[in-house]
Amino acid sequence: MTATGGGPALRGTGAATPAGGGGSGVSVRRAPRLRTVLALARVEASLLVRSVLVLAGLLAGALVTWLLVRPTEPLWWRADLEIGGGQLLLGMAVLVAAQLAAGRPRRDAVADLYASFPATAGTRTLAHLIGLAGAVPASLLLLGAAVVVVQERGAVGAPSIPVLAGCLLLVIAAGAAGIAIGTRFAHPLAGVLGALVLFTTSATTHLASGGGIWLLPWGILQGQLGSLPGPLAGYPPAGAHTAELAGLAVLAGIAALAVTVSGARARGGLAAAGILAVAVTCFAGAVQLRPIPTAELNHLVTEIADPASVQHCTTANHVRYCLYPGFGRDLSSLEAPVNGVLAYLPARPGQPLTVRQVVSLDFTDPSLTHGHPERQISRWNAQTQNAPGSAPTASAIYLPVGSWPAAGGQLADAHFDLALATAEWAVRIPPLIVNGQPCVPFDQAREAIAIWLAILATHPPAGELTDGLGGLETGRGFQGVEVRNTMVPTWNYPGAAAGPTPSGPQLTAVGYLLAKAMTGLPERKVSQVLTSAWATWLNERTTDAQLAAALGIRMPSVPLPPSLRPGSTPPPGMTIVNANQPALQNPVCAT
Amino acid sequence: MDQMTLNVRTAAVRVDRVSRRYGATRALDEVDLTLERGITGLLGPNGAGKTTLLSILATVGEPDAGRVSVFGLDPRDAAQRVEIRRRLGYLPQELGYHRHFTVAGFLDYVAILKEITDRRRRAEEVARVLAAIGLERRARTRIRALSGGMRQRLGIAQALLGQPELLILDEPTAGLDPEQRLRFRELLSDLPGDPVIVLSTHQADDIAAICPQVIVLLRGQVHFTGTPAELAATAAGRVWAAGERDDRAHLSWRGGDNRWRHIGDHPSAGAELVTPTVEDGYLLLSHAAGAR
Amino acid sequence: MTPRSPDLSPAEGAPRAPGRLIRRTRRPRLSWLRALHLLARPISRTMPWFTLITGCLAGTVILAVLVHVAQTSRGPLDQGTVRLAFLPAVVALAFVLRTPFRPLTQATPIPAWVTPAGHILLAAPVLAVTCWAQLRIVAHTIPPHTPGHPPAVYPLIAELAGWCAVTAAAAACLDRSRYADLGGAIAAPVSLATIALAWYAPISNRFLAEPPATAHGVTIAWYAVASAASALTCVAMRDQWHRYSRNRHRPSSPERNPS
Repeated sequence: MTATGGGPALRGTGAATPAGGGGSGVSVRRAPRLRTVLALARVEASLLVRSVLVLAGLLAGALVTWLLVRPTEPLWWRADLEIGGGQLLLGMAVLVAAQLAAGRPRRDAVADLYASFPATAGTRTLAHLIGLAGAVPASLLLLGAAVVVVQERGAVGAPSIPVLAGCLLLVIAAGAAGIAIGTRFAHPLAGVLGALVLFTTSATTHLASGGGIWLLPWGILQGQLGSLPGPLAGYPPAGAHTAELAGLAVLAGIAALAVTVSGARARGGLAAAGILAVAVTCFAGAVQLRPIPTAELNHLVTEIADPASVQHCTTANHVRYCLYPGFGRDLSSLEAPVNGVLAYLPARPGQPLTVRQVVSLDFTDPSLTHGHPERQISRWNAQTQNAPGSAPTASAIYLPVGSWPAAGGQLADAHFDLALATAEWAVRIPPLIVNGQPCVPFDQAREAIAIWLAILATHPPAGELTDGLGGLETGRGFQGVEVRNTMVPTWNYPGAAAGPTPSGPQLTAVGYLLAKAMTGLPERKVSQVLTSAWATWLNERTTDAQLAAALGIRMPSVPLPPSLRPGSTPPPGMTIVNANQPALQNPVCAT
Repeated sequence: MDQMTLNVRTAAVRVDRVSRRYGATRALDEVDLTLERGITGLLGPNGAGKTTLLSILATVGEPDAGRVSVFGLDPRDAAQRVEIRRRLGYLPQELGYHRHFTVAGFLDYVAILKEITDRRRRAEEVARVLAAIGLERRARTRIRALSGGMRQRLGIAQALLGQPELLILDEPTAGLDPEQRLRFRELLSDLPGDPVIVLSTHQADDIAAICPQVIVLLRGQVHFTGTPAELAATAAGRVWAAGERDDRAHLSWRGGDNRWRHIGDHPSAGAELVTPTVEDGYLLLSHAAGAR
Repeated sequence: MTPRSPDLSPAEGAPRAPGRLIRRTRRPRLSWLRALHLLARPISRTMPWFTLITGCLAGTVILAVLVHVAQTSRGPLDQGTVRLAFLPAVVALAFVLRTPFRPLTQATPIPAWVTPAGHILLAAPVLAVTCWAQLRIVAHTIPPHTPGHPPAVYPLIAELAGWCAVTAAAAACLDRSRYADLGGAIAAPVSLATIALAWYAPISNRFLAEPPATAHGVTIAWYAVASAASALTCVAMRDQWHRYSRNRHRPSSPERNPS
C-alpha cells in the first residue's frame, strides 16, 4: 500500500504490496431505469393515497361539493362546474402533500445519502410525477359520489365528460405544481402558499375582465349558468379548458424535472416539451375566449323572449304548465301545491291559470356577450325586456329557471310560495307594482283567505311562518311599509324568494295573524263561511274585521311601537320601508 | 449497447493527489492512497478530513483537484459515476430518516433507489439485511419509535442492501452498545463477496479488532498507512506506566488501576515500559502532527 | 497538542473521601426569570423571520395583484379581499410556533414554553403591520366620492386576531403530537379548516359574521374566540410534567455533613 502526502509518511514494515495484475473485471451496465421509476412511483402513489392531507382534502371537497350542489336546482350544465369546485379543495391538499413528498430528502437530511444512489434526482422526480396517480382514486371517488348525488336529485340534462375530466386534471395539475415547488423549496410553507394561490385564483374570478381571466374564462358566467334553460352548445368550452389544464400539468412537470435532470439531451427534450405545452395552453386559452356564436345567442334570446315557441305545455286540473324541454320532472312537484289550493276553492276565476318557466339573464354580462357589437347586445336586451315574467300578469305564475329546489326545506318553502301565488290568483289579488313598490292588500279579507288556503295546501311549520313577522309578536323588532300615510306592519315569510318570481303583493302582519287564527278553526266551518259568500269575500272592500266577525274570531291587532307613531323618529335597528316618502309608498291592491 | 466490460488495474480504489477546500479551510491536501478488498480503518481527529474523503469516495462530493478511480471507473463521467453507485453502500456520518416510514418501508425504498426493481428479490434483500443487523422484529416499527442505536443499525442495514462491492461507513459504531459493536464486527467479517470496506471511527479498539489496514488522516493529509500492529509499533518504547505523573510525557492519564500511563519521546530512567496499543500509536502521531 | 485527562480530585494525589454528599443551595422556583433578559437575543435569532415575512409579503403581493386586476375590471374590493390576502400570513404563523431542540429545552430550568411564547410576541407586531398595510391598500381602492360610510374595520381586526390565535393554538397542540416534525404543514390546514368551519357552520356563523350579527357582536365573538384559543395555546405549551404535584416529588432533605 502506498501513501504520500505533505506530512511524514510512516511506512509499515510489513506493508502489503499491491496485488498484482488486472484481476477483477467490472461490468458497466445500464439497468432498466423505467423499472426503477415505476417501482418508486408505486411507493409514492401508495404514500399519497394514505396521506392524511389527501384524506382531509377529500372530506373537505365532499363537504364543499355538497354545500354547492344542495341548495340549487340540479341542472347538469351548472352542477358539473360545482363539482369542480369541490375538486379544487382536493387539489389543494394534493398540492401540499406532493410538495412535502418532493422536498422530503432535503427536509429529512438524507440528500447526501440519496446522492450516492444510482437512481438520480431526475429519476426520483419522474417517479413523484407518475406517483400522482395515487391521487386519482380520491378524485374519482369524489367525482363519482357527486355525480350519483346530483343524478339522484333528478338533475336535468346530462353530465359533460370534458368538464368532469377537467376536474380530474385539476387535481393532477395541482399535484404537479406541488412537486415543482417541492424540488425547489423543501420548506412546507411553500406548498401551503402554493395551495392558497390556487384557491385565490378561483375565488377572485369575479374581479377579472375578459382578457385577464383566461385561466378560468367562464368564472363569471358560472353565476348565470343556472339560469339557462338548457346547455349552450360548446359553452363553457370545456374541452379547451381541459386541454389547458393538461398543458399546465405538463408545464409543472417540466418545471420539476428541469431542476433535477442533467444532460444536454434531456434538457433539450424538456425544452421542446415545454414549448409545446405552452403553445397548447395558450391556444386553449384563446379558444376559450372566443365569443359565443351569434346563432347560439339568438336561439337563447328566442327561448327567453318567446318561450311558448320552445316550451312544452301540459294542462292538468285546468291549469296550464309550460316548461322548457327537460324540466318535465318538475311537473309533479309543481302540481302538488297548486292542486292543494284548488281543492279548497269554492269557485275559480274566469281566467285560467298558467304556470310558466321564465329565464332572467343579464345580457350586459361581458363573459356572455364579449366579442359582439354593442348594437347587437342592445337588440338582445330589448328583445328580452318584453319576455314573459318581466311584466307580471294576474293569470300567470312565473318560475325562474334554476330556482326550483330539488328537495329539503327549500323545496317546502318553494311549495308554500307557489301555493300562495296560486291562492292570490284564486282570490284575485293583482300583482300590481307601482314605482317599483308592490301593492299591499291593506285591510282586505281576501288576503287572509289566500294565506289560509296556502297553509292548508302545504302545511308549513308554524314557527317558520311566525318568523316572517320579524319579531313583531315578541316586541324584538318591527318591519312595515307605509300605505296611505299609515305605517303598516308587514309579514315576509321565509322562503319568499324561493319559487315564483317575487312579483306578488306585500302581505301584512294582520292578514297573516287572521289566517293563523282561521287555521285554528275547523276547516269545514271556514269553508262554509267562505262558500256562502265567495264573491263578497273576494271584493277588495271586504275588510278583515268583517271576515273575523263572520268566523266568530277576535280581530287581531298589531299596535305600532311608540317610536313609530306619527311624528316620532324610529330607533336604530328597525326596518322601515318607504318611511315618510309619499312618492315611494306602497299602493293598495285594487283589482 | 446494453453492457460494457472493463478490466480494472491493481487497486480497487485509487485516490491520486486529491484535494478539497471549504473556503479557506483545506479539508484534504493532495491525498494519495489505494484501497484493496478487505476492511480499511480510517482514523483521525475531528476536522481531519475523514468525512470529506469518504463523501468523495461515495461520489457525493467532488474533489477540487486530483483523481479518483473506483474499480477502474472514473466518477467524473456521468455513466461511470452511476455505475460506481450501483456497487456502493454508503452510511453518512449524519443520516436523517423519514420518521414516518417503517423500518421495512425505508429499506424497501432505498432498495428501489439502488435499482433492485424485482419485488421478490427486494423483499429478500430487505429481510436479509434486517436479519444481519438484528432488527427483523422491528420491520413494521416506525422509525420515529426506534432508539438511537437502532437507527444507527438501520443506517448500516441500508448500506448493505444490494451486496455492495464498496462499503463506505462513516462512524458506523456511534451509538452502539458494546454487544452491538461486537455484532457489527462479526457482520463485517462475514460479508460475502469480499468487498472493499472503508470505515471511519474514533474507536481504536474497533480498528485493532477488525481492520487489517489502517490509515491515519491528520489535517487533510495521510500520516500513516499500514497494519494496526505497525501503527502500535510506532509507539514502541515510548509508552510507560508510573505511580505518578511524569511532566516529560506528551500525554498522561490515570487508569482504572490508579497508575499513570504516559506517552512521550523520552521515558524517564527506570520507567516501566508497557506494550503500546493502536491508540498509543495514533495519539503519538496525532501529537507529532499537532506540534509541527 | 498536549491534551491532559481531566483531573477531578481536589488535591493532587489525594484520594476523595468516599460517600460524601454535596449540599446544593435551593434556588427560588422562579429564579429563571432573572435569566429572561439574556434570552431575548437568542429568541429573536431563532425566530423564523424569513418564514413569517415570506407569508406576510406573499399575502400583500397577492392583494396588490388583486387591486390591479380590480382596477382593470372596475370590480369592487372589500374586506373579504383583505381576509383572503391575510391568509398567507396566518399560514406562516403556523410555522413560527415550534420548540427548537425540544429534548434539550425540556430539560433546562427555563421552561420550554418561553421560546415559543417569545416568538409569538415577536410575530404579533409583524402581523399587525401586515394587516394595517393591507387595509390601507384596500382603502385606497375606494373612489373618493363614494356615498355612504365604509364598513368599520374593528370587527375585521378582531376576526383576524381570532384567526391568528386559532392558528397558534393549532400549532402548539400539534407540536406535542406525533406530527410535530411536520409542524406547520399540518397546523396550517387544520387552522384554515377550523376557521372555515367557524365561518360557515350555522351555529357559529350567526355570531361570527355580519349579518346576521352586528359589528359589536362580531367583535366580541371573535375576541372571545381569540381568548379561548390563547388559553388552549398556553395549556398546550405547558411542561409535560405538569400532571405531577410538587408535593409528591419534593426531594428529601440532604444529610448533614458529619464533619
